[in-house]
Amino acid sequence: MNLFYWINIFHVMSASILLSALIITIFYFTLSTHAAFYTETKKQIKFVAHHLMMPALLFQLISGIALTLLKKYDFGSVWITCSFIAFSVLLFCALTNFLWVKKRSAQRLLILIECFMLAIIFYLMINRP
Amino acid sequence: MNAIIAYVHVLSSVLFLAIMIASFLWIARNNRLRHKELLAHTLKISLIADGILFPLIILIVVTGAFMTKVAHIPPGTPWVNVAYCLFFLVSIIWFTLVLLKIKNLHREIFSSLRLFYGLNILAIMLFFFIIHDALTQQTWFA
Repeated sequence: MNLFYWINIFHVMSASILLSALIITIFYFTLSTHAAFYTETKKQIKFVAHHLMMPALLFQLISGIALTLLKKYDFGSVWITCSFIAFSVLLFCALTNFLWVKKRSAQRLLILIECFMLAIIFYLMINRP
Repeated sequence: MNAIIAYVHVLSSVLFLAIMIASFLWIARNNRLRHKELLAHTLKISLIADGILFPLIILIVVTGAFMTKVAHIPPGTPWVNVAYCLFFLVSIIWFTLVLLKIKNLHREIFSSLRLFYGLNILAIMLFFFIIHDALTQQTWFA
């Protein structure tokens, strides 16, 4: 089986891991209302960000570029440009969320934007408009 | 229309796998703290997520069947049959996991932890094979 399929499989798997990291963060937000677990929640969200989300984002970027090169897609095409822009926004939101933002409402908004960006990337990948 | 169905199929499949992984890691990590209230909350949230998984299972099967029909893939195609069987297995595992979570809802420590870990890892591996079969349109099993 050729390299293209393997990269494609791991691209989809890492997208799932990225989404699961987002879901875990949402789960932890439900826990942060319990005062007893607030510190633990912050610790765990940091753990998820460092060990799940960031590696998945990095892998998505590398495998995405590799797939574009292997399939010889045009880097200037609308769907690739738009998906890279959406991915950049996603990366920016993820970094901002975990490194600088302290307010919970802002964190929730950033997670919502991240989910929306993921949905846009999926749409662009499947339909290639 | 076909593009929308494909979009829904891929999005729901990835979401299904993501919720499975998220629930697994969420329970596994919170169980270590050995706190009854925390475990109850963890399992409750995980069961709410399972409530999303059930319609996703139906959606994946329906959109998958529609896509094979649109793509004129014959009904007996090995990789399609294998994908259906594997997904059926994943659904059974998911149902067993839901029962395990309900059983542990009022306990301080999650019992049958090895079974829980094993079933989750098996489900994720089976899903990996389904993704492999769907992308390559070939299967290792037939």
